[in-house]
Amino acid sequence: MTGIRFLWVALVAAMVGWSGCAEPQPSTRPPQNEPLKVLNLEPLPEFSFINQDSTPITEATVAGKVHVVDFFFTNCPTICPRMKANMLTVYEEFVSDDRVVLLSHAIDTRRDTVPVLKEYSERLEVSAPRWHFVTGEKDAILGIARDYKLAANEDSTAPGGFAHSGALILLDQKRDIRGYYSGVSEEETAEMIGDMKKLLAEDGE
Amino acid sequence: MENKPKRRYLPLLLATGIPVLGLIFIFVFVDLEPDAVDASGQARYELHCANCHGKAGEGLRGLYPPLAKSDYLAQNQGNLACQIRHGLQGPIMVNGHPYNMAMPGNPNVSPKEITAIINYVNTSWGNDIPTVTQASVEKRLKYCAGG
Repeated sequence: MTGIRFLWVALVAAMVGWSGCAEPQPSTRPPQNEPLKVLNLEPLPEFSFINQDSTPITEATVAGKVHVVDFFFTNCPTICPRMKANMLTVYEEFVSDDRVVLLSHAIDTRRDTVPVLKEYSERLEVSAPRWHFVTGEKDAILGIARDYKLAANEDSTAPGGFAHSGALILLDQKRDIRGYYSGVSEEETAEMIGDMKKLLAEDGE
Repeated sequence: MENKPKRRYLPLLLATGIPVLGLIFIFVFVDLEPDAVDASGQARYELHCANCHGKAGEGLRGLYPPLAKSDYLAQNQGNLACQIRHGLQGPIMVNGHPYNMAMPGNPNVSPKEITAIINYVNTSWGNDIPTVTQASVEKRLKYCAGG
């Protein structure tokens, strides 16, 4: 009898173990009502990139703006399309608000040239100056990702040749980081839109 | 008297054997479900396709074409298996709109999974396209251009 009992205990334990793997991860984000903390310890460095209209984009472009930063590449088969669908929601929310800028960095700098980024933005039916798709020197793009504390690397084993974080980063008018959100999550994107409105309200005080 | 020790193991054998046989039967039975009702289609679609084509087959503006109510989908049924396996390059027209983003292939998706995906897409979001069999998908995959 002990043999049978052991078999069933093992079987039940295995089933519980399997279902345990499918449990959703609890959110690590702070409660909604708390003020947004400044998350960077030191000021972010200057940068110089070029957008889909061949316009130079620097730290001056985002000075005084609530802005969202992310990293992607146009040939990305995995998380980028969902990030872009969520960024599109943000774009639509603030399309006529001059106080907001979206800044998407193309990390596949060899393939994602200015004309490629132009076609991509046109197919997405979005435009500068609300949403800049920027490219530049590869080391500069990957370097600023590290400055934003995001992972972005060339990786021949990853689908499409690059591995990068799917985060959206929210920065305030002073270029301080105020939040990190999952760009593949509709819920966290909605939360970010709420936080952007908080930052815009701070500006008016 | 000599048989008694042997008989003591008979209930044990039955008690372990029956559940094990039952489990084997369930796995075999599930495997033999007809292609058209393979419920894994939605999960496979959401894993491999929905990032670009959307959870409801809506696509993403001019970047990724819709699969819901798509004339291209209806007219290219014979090419779908190869397109899912090997991807798709170059411009296409879908419902009168041009699209030109490369679609990556899925070399590790099995014929069974491809069948489930096609049948999910063919019968979802207002689509009413006949389902396909795994045998027909396997046949198509043998003759993919360049594959």
